[in-house]
Amino acid sequence: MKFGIPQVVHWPIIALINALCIFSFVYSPSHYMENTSYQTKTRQWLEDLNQLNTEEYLTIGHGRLTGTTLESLNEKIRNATITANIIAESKTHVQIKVSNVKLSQDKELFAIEKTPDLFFRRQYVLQEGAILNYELIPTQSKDAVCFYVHELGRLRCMNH
Amino acid sequence: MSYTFKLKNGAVAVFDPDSAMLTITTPHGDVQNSTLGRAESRLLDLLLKEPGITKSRDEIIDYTWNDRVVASGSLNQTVFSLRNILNDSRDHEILMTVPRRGYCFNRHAVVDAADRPAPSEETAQPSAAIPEQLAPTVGDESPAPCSTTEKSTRMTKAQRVAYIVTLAVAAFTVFQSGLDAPKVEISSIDKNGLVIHAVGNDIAEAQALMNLSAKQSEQLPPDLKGQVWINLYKASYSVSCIRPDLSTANLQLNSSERDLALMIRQCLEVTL
Repeated sequence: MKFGIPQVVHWPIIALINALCIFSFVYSPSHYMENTSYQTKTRQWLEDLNQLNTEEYLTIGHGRLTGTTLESLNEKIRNATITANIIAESKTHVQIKVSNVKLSQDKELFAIEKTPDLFFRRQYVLQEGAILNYELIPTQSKDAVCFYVHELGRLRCMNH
Repeated sequence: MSYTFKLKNGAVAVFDPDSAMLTITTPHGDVQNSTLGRAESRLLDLLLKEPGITKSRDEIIDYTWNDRVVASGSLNQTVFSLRNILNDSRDHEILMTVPRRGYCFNRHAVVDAADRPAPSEETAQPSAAIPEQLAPTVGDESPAPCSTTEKSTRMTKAQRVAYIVTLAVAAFTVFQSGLDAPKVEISSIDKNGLVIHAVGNDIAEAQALMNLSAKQSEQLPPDLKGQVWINLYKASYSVSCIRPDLSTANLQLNSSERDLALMIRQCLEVTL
């Protein structure tokens, strides 16, 4: 293999390519701010027309994702916290593996018997080792983050 | 192509790299033919290709041993052997060592084609047209016998390995940035500050949802502002929004129960 460039130029070229690769690998600006707590409120109408209200909190940073959900139905409150390790990440995607689940009660969250689809999705997400793909959606605001969780078909926007 | 160069004591050598034949003609007209070993021949060939240009040890090893792994002592041995053949073992004036850089062939020893006698004359009077001194005379402005200012374009083995490693690093980087993950498609519309994004698993799905949203959004008050994302998943609509005050809200319901326009308005206006 012979290039038509002086021999001494090869080393700077090699160094430059490697530097660019390492830079792009290390510096991957995401659509979210690390170690910032995002929150939002969600309302879901169940099949019996009851309203399931939730407050959700999310923090991503240091290779971990922590999500907490406070759920209220008919003036009763329960909560669940999920801790996950980030196993792959790019500018627009975060792939996590659930490592720990804590529930305020042994029973699952509300409304599982009323909404079968919700039940199955929760079964999946509350299981240690579950893989979830978060796709970050660009927004016009730096203070908010929107994402779509593919496995749950869940769309969320959160602010801090 | 053969190379002609001067040796000490007025002898002239002709080297043919194809046959590895070195012919030395003494000032007295005696001719000695010898076939060089492969390593000596390749080394001499490399240096004579660009006389006066310093070749690094890596470069010489790459060329001489054709990418075979050899001990560094092999090069020293080959240089030693070639110098003996060229009667240069004591002074190193022909095959010169350039400290910390490598070796070069003294450019003053090489006879240019223009200086070379015609073949018929060469045999009869080999040294007639050739100056006896290897080194330039005092005041001679000819270039130094060895130079490192001219850059070789030959890549060394280390550089080739570095390029391969770099290629692997680049491939890994591209793979990482690509992250084989599912991707949603988004179709957007801006209606006087109300930006609606339809999120679908493919463009057609996003576009269909956008068309429905755009149609229903005609019922919305014109002063409604903010960003809204809409998704349809298993017969349930999800509406997520960022309000002008940068707070967020999310609504989810069965598609048969309410219309989208009402959901968008609630998401942007109602305190949950």
